Amino acid sequence: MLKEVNSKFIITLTASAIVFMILFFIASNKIYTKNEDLVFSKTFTLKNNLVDTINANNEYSSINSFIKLDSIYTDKLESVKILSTVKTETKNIELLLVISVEHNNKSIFWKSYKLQNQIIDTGKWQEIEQIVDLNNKTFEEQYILKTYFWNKSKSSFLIKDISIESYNELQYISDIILNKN
Amino acid sequence: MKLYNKNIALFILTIMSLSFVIFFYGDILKSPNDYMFSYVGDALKNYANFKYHLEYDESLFTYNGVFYPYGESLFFTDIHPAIVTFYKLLSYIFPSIGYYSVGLINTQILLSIVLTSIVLFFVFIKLKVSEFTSVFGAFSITVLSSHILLLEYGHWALSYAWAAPLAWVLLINFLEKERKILWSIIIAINTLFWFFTHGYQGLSTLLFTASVFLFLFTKNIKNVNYLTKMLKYFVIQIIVPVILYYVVVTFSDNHASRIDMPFVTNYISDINFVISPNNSFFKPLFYSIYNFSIPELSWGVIGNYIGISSIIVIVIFVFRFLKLKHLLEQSNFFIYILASILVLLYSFGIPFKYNLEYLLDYIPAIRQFTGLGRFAWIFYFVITVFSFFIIDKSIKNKYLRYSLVLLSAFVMTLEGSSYHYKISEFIHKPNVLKKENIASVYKELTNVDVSKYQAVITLPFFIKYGNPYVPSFTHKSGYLYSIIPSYTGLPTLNAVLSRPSVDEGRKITQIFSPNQYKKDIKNDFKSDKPFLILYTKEKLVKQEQIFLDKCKLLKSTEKYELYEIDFNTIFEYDSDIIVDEFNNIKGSYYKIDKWFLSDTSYFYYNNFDNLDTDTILLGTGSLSKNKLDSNLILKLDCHELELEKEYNLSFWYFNTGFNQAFTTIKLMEFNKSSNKNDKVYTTNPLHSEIINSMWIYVEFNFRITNKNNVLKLNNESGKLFSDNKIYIDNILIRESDVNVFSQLSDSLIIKNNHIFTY
Repeated sequence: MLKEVNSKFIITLTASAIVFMILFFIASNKIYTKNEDLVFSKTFTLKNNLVDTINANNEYSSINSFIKLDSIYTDKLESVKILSTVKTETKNIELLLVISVEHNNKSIFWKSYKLQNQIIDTGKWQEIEQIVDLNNKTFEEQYILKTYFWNKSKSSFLIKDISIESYNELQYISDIILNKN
Repeated sequence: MKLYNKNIALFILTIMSLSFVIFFYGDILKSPNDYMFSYVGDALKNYANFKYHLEYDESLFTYNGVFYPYGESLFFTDIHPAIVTFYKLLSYIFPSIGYYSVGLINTQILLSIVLTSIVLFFVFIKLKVSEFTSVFGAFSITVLSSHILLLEYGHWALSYAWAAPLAWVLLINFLEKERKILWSIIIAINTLFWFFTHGYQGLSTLLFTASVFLFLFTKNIKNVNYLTKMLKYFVIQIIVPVILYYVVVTFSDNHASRIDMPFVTNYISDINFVISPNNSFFKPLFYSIYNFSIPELSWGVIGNYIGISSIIVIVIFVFRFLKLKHLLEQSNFFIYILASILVLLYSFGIPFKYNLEYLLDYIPAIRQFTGLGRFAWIFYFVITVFSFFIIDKSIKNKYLRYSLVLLSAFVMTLEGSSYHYKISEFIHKPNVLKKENIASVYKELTNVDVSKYQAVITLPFFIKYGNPYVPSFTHKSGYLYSIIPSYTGLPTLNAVLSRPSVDEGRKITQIFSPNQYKKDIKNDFKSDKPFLILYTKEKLVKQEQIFLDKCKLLKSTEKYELYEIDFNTIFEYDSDIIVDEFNNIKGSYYKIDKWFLSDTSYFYYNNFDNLDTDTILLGTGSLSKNKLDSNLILKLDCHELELEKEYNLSFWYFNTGFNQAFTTIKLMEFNKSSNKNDKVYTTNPLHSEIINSMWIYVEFNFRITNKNNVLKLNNESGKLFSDNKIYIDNILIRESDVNVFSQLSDSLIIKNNHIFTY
């Protein structure tokens, strides 16, 4: 009697486990598609070659580089890299790079970064690079990603060649390791 | 007969777990030493450190691959001390074991998935849950455990999800079995093992065990016999492991002045992360009801989500509480749930996040644990097991019960598989720590004759994490710095460590300071061999560039340059040069008091010798103030300054570890008419590059815009480490292109606020 019960149990459990695993593999494959392209190919770059002259009267840079997110990326954005070239009179300025995501003139996301540590020389053009971590946020269509400079110390300086590009640490490191960079 | 059922059930569960692992990670399982789970975060350094320790370290408990010449205690390197020590001992018999380091770590990670399901199965069985429910419950809870997401960041030891279930199953045995001393000793050994594998795993098991005791004590508060009896088990299970861990770590660690971590909230968990998914296909559904995201908490990307099926079961349980409350009384479940909730509250940062950080001062060791979200996994395991327990015990109809168990487990497994799809995207081939896989452009780096050098310095230089000085880390330098140590055994001065000694970090960073300043590290080097310099051809800060200019170029490629520098070149200082310069200018310069100026321009100097201070750079006094006191350091009228000229304001800033960190120094040109600052210059004083023992040289170059304005030098300190003083000495203002000298004693000359002894 007991043996019969165990046999039933074993058959039930084994059959359930087999069906469970088969259904799971089929269903999970349908629900989640491994999309390596998401990581590697949906990149974008926006470049603005204008020169912006900023002085004590300008609290913000006048060239706002912006991009409509629906045109480039409607899925998660891990981070973006903002590059620009800056010329300053002095090292000790309080210059912040601001990135904001806006919708209908309302800020959805806002971050600022101090750039003064990147300013090494005065009187010559220097490239500034800032990685902005967006924590894989999902931004909806019509959202606008905007970047500008905040001249907190009200100093004088020049900015040119502002570019925004999608950035992925994995991609970047892979490129170094596999010698594509 | 039951045992037979149990064994069959365990066998089937093992097959299910193995097939899951093969489905997602089959390639790695086939050839574990050819893949890496991730290249990002701490992944490369955690693989590389493990490999270096097995292949090159002579000491069992010290890691000497980075932070040369000091190295680091094995317990602060994130390379699973208990496990790596076992392999290290094996390496004396099998010397090539280090070559398989990546494969060993990968195998441990994958076996952990199977092991977690097996340990959970025993938890279920111990809780008297049927074998059927135990199999599917254990499997699905394992799959939904978000530990696996930490692989993206290289936190291998934290991915071993079976730590908490093992602590639980041992506790059940302790409470149910007769031989309580034996089980207490086993629990103590288990807790110690996890402490020696990863501090967070150890503290998780300890906190859960301690919380269970707390509620057992509370429940039996009037039973003195019980309390007396249990107290000795508490001592064995809680106090003894803590003391043993503390003793071993303290006595094996000769590195003082590690950061005394402040309370930070970035990595705390939140109820939102427990009840809402971050990856599952149900995420859109949840977020259509409510926005669960909390952008300021980084822990949200990992979370401790318990699954929609558990949520539904628990909600039903709450609504039918009166009818089902007897379930809580079975198998001590009430105690386990309360204990897990207590640990969950700690993972939420409660009570510390409500301006009660000072409570941490009573248990300073707890301060070192900042990733509190990791402790919420205790609750995850207890509540998900309880949800299956409810189904198993409350539904009498076998077919309905089986159906609900299968449905619940299926949904949970589907949700959890999202984590594994995500992580499988980060798995990469090749294993770049194998010499044969290094990109050809870097290949020659492995052929360096390391016997000629004592260590390598990678530029841009960095000591990442837990170090307050100049942060120059780049991904390229971060990768390249691991190459030479991993392939050659040559240690590096750079480091990526979580809690390095701040004093030692300062001594290493001071290598780049001008040579007139005594470099305390000189006597700590065990050799006078040259250093190899690996330069990534990226932007350097000023002192790094000056240092590189003194090095001899060995090889230049498109991607990197190799240099070498003699030991003496790093330290050589000819005091005759400054003495000759001073003697030459003395006659021709303008003299103001003790100062010689190349031009009759504006000059200001304050050595604060009129102040009575215990911490002094030169003379008899310095300015000292509490970090949060009135923030004014200096106030001067601008009327003596010229509008068209650039001035240099410099001073020396004292620092001990992080006590003077998190302070910004601001130079402001204040307009009295508008009551606003016309200009503000800011700097982080600890990011200045010139270090003279415990003092750092800080400078501003500035111009004024209005002679009626007032120049103010302020400090603004954050609340971290705020109960400390800051010290400032020797403020000097001069025109930027004017040289200023002074001979302060027979053996000390100041030039532009730089100090030269002779």
